[in-house]
Amino acid sequence: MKRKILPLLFFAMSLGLMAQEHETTVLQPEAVERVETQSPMKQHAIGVSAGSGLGLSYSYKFNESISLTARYNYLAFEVEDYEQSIDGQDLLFDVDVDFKNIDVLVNYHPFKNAFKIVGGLGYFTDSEFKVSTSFKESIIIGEVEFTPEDIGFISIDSAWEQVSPFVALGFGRAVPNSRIGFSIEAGTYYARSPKVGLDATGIIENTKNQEALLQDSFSELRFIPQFSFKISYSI
Amino acid sequence: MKNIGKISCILLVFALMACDTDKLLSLKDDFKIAVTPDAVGDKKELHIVNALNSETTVNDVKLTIEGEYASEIFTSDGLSALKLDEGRIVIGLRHGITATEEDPIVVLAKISAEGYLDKTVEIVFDGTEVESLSIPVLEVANLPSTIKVKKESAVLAANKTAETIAVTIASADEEEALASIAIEEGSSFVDQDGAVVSGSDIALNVQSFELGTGAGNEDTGFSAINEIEEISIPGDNVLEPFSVIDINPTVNGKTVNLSEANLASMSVSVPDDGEEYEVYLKTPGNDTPEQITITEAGTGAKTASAARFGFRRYSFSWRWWGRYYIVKRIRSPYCASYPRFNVVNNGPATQYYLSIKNAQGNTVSSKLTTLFSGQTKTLAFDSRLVKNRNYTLNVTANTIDGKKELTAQRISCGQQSTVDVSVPNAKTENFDIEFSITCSKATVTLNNTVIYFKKATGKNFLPFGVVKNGVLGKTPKLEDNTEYVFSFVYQQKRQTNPIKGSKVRDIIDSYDVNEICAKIEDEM
Repeated sequence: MKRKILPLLFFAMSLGLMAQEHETTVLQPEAVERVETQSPMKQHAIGVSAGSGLGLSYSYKFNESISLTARYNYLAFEVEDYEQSIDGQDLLFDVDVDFKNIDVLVNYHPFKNAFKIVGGLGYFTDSEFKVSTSFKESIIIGEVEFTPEDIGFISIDSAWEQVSPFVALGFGRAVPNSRIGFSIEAGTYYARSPKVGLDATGIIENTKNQEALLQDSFSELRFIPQFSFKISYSI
Repeated sequence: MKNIGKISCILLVFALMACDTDKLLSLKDDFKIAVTPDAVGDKKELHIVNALNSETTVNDVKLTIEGEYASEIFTSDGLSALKLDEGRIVIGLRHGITATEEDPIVVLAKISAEGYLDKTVEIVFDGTEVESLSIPVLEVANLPSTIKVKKESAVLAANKTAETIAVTIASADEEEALASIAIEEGSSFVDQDGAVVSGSDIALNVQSFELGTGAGNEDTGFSAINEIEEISIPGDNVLEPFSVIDINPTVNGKTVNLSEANLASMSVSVPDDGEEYEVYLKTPGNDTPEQITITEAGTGAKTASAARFGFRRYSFSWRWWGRYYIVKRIRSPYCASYPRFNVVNNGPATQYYLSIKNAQGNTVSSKLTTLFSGQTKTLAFDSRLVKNRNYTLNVTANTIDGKKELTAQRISCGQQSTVDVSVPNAKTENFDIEFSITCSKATVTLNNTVIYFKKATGKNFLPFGVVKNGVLGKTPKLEDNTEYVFSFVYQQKRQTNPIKGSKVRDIIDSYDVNEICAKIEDEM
């Protein structure tokens, strides 16, 4: 059975957006006019975001439909000693994720409300997903004990392309009309298949031969999902 | 506009649903961890062979290792008990112990077998992943004429000899006594610390080596000169052994020396060729030999028509057990270094016999070695050459189609040349069979394991290739309609039934995978 968490998430979002879109159109024209006559259009904003990483952004609004955002996003974390069984062996996994990217995005509000379509390019200064695995327990061959260190390590490094297009759907203005604004966004980078490297040491060194299988398996990871919740401050 | 937004969302969902994660999710089941079940590195595939007859299997060999790293030597399947199978065993350094060419680990291997002379050899671990070593041992009942073993026993009375004990060793041509050794009546004995030894019986064990002929065996690598350790003295003169007499007196089985009060006697014969002859004693643990005072004791004319010279006798007294070298002093220096060559094989795995011969055609040093395809090895010989003398390096390849003389080239002091020993026109093929077995606990891959082969009608196994990271690589080309037998050593010697050359690629299928997995997993 195919797991399609990501598509389900987006489907749910789509439903939410459709509902949101309907709610947005309820705004009274008089209220919009009142706001517009009361304060000049704010064109600049800075923001901080959290979600699939932490981010800082600067946005410039051209008009009610188009704004430009430059964003720096940072996602780095480690997981140690995660236990999993592979090929009948109990293994410990250390996972190291390091994603840093600079995006230049265009926010398009087709209905001149909070709903937006975001598109642009992301430049990944780091896009690494590293896994290091070792045996949980010693093994003994004859009278010779091999500790997990002796058995060796398997390390997998994967890195995506540096420049990747990005597309997302969101709600909320990059440059809010009031001083403070909130927005949410969910999308994906299309990064093509990552380059995968496999190394192994010790008596499991020959596991290196599995690199082609690994590359083939990782070939499906063409999309790097991204979601964020942002607070913006217009200036 | 609302409809455009809705349609956009749905299209995006469908696009994302096109992501197929099947391959990634099945990775957990498809990914195989390849384990090489080798408990040791720096593997030595030892083959104890009958020195004069490679077709005779040496059974019930006992192997003990001595030295600082003796406790770090295991079989390739991780056992400290070194049990040989038909004279074969694979040993190595325990995983985690590292040796390099610059910092090698040397151990002594003591080999004994019923009916064979005991032998002690050095085994050097220098980081070479796998090496095939042939160790020839001499069968007592079938010694070459240049090597003799004799023993005389007698009872002791009041810890002294009740009568003279004498051993006489004839020369190889049986024309004169190479050596005559006698322990006089009334002799007493002391241990290594000088304390008087008590006992009921005395045995005088003598082994002699006559080195003039320098014969060898190209199949086993045996050469009498290789059995003798080179001796040297300070200065620029060379001591070239003519004969070596090993004396080992034992009282109740324990090695003893004679007491200072009653020295024993020995007389030796040397060619009457006008050269200077001297006698030196080398005892175990002492690097410097001790010169023995000798007295000329007569001459004799040559009696055999083939003999070039008559002989002279020298006599001397002795009391220490050890090795007595009867040497010719050559007033020329040795070369500063031992002969070394870089031998290269770009053909299939081959066994080679390399010998250095002097101008008279006698072997002064030899080696039997195996080079795998694409391997370069530095071979250092154990005997130095004499400066300004002529020597040749001779190389013979032992192939499955017979011996092939490859080269005989002049060599000189200090030379470390590269010698290409690839067998010309040798037919090869790439044997791309993967030596991996998928068991339930792991995928097991052979690594650094030598595969041997012979024709079903042949006698001696020769190297076929070495499995590295599960792959055999370049091997001799097999004839489709000729039957071959293959073997390798893991825990014991394993051998296939005869199989035709055209069917060899099915070889892995002929093994019971479940049985092999069960045995390997039992060890893990």
